Amino acid sequence: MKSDNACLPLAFAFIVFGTVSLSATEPEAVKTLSSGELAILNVKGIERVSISNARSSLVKDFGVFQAGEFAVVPSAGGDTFLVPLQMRIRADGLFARLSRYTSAGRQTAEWPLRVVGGLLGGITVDTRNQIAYCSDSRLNVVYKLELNNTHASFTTLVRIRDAGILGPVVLDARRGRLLVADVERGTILSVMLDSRKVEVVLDAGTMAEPVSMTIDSVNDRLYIADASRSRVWVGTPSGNRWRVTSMTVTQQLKQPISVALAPDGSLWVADRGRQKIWLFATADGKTLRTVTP
Amino acid sequence: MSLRPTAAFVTAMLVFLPLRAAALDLHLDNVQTAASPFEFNKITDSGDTGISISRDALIASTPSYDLWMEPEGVSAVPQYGYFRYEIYVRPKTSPGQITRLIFRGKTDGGFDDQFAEVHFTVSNGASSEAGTIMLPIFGRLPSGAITSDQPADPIPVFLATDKEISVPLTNQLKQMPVRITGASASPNDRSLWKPVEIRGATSGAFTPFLLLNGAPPSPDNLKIWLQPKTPQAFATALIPGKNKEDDVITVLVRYKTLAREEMSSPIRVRVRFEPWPPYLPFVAVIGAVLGWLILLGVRARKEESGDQMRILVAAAVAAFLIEIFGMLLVAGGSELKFLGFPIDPFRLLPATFIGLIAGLAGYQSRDFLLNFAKISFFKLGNTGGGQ
Repeated sequence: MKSDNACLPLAFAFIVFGTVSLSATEPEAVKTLSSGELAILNVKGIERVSISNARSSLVKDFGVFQAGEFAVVPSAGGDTFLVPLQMRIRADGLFARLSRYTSAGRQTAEWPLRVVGGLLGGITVDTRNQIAYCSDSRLNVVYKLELNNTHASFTTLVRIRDAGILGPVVLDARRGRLLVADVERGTILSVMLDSRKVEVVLDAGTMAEPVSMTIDSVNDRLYIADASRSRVWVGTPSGNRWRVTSMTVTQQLKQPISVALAPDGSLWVADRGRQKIWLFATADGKTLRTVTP
Repeated sequence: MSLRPTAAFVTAMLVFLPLRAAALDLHLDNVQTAASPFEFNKITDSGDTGISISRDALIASTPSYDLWMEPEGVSAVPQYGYFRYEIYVRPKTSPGQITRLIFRGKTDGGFDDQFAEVHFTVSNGASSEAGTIMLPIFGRLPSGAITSDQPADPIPVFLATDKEISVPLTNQLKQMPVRITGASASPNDRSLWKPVEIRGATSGAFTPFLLLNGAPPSPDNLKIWLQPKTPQAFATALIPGKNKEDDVITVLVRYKTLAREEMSSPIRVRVRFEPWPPYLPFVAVIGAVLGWLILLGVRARKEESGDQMRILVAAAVAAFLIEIFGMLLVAGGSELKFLGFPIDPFRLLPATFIGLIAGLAGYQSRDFLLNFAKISFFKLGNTGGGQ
């Protein structure tokens, strides 16, 4: 056994880098901008992609960092980006933070999460009240943050003790609640904004790994990227709960990791497995186009 | 209607039926590291077809099953703090019947990313078989994978000569290769240098390379090419600061490890300007002239001009010889001291100082030379040639 291990580094030299693209531009998350353009968050930073000619420009180069979900907030001076940045090691522990950037890439605010070991996972914004809601996928907490105050602190909206890993979060404004996916259990939870009551609105069993969500508040539809079941689910309300059906056909997507609603109601899906960004018609799930970053 | 074609059709359908009927289950045991456990949990499984094992795959096998993971089968989900593993299992008797299983791997502990032996159990409902497979496991945060052994003393750079410096890199991870994807270099004081170049093996352009764990540091794969701006470098060398180094070049090495995003590690290369050694004895001679001028103003004015010149030549020769002697001494590992203070004869200011002292002590320099060789030229009052 020992001799096998000794040979390992050489063997893995090929294994690790033999066939894999090491491109650092794989999309981690997609959002649509007010202009209809696409914003892509990848490990380097935020890119803006013109839909008409597929040209991209770098909005913000973060250098080296890791990030997942982000939010686009329309404002008078142009869209702003809210980016949860992963833990940073300081002398007194590990801390996450949320940073805000203008469409020109200028940082205008940074809110540290003053909770040791916290990890900001999902984020959604109540644009009318300028409040951000973030899920902490490590401590299973949903935080609230006032965006109008650059000195504001994250406050705990609710701690969900029996959750697995809290993931993406969307605002169901119509019902005055947040919808939070549990990435580990494959469930959707609702958190009432007034009473902070938590209940399961989509049971385990259907979804395996809901890593991204977006809500169409006009048509009252919920779209969920399920990375392990390789599909996008579309949710329709059923009383207080949701029912989901598959929107995409089997084996079309490989590892969908982010969904974003386009202004015309179609749906962008970032697929890490196929290294593509797809645009689907939400009415029938047909592919409208693909973008290869 | 004949039953035979129908039976054949059913048989064929059973053969090509994807695996759900005979679904396999795979369990991966948690890995206990010195710091904390790395836990595997199955997310989902599904039947798959048409998948072949690439030559880069991580493979394990039991008497009845093949098990493998492609290198791209592991990926980070950093926002939710876990890693995703896509593993395939197939029975050896029916290699077309492949089951794809997705696992979540996570830890709360801090340990280096590494490959570990993971115990697994494959079962088909009726029986199960166990085995081990090498899989990468990851600490909660990416660990610093790259270090560079730098010499205790700053690296000498000649004032007027370009210099190529190797930056040896060492992979600190356990059984996990690191790919060096790029590098950039920036000096603390840009006024001292022309733009610093990054070079690769055989002094050509830098190309990404692999760094294996346990391999000796690779001095040739990453180099920096320094071109000093001589006047500024001369001024810096003449007036040394409190640090032993004259400047620090920060080499930012970018690297990538399996399933992690690209990271960077700064490496500090300390450099010290040194004149080209053959110049130093002449620098000492210039110092001797300065010393002689001072001596002339203070004491030797009364001497005849011939004797003044003899003192100058004696001081210059003594400075030249002492400087060479000092350089040989230091090069041999010894120390040159003046009034108990160590002097580095390979630096500009000390070399000038040696000359200055020799010039100031012009009479003693003459005596010093006369002790070595009875050359009449150095005897004061001698107006003729040799004696």
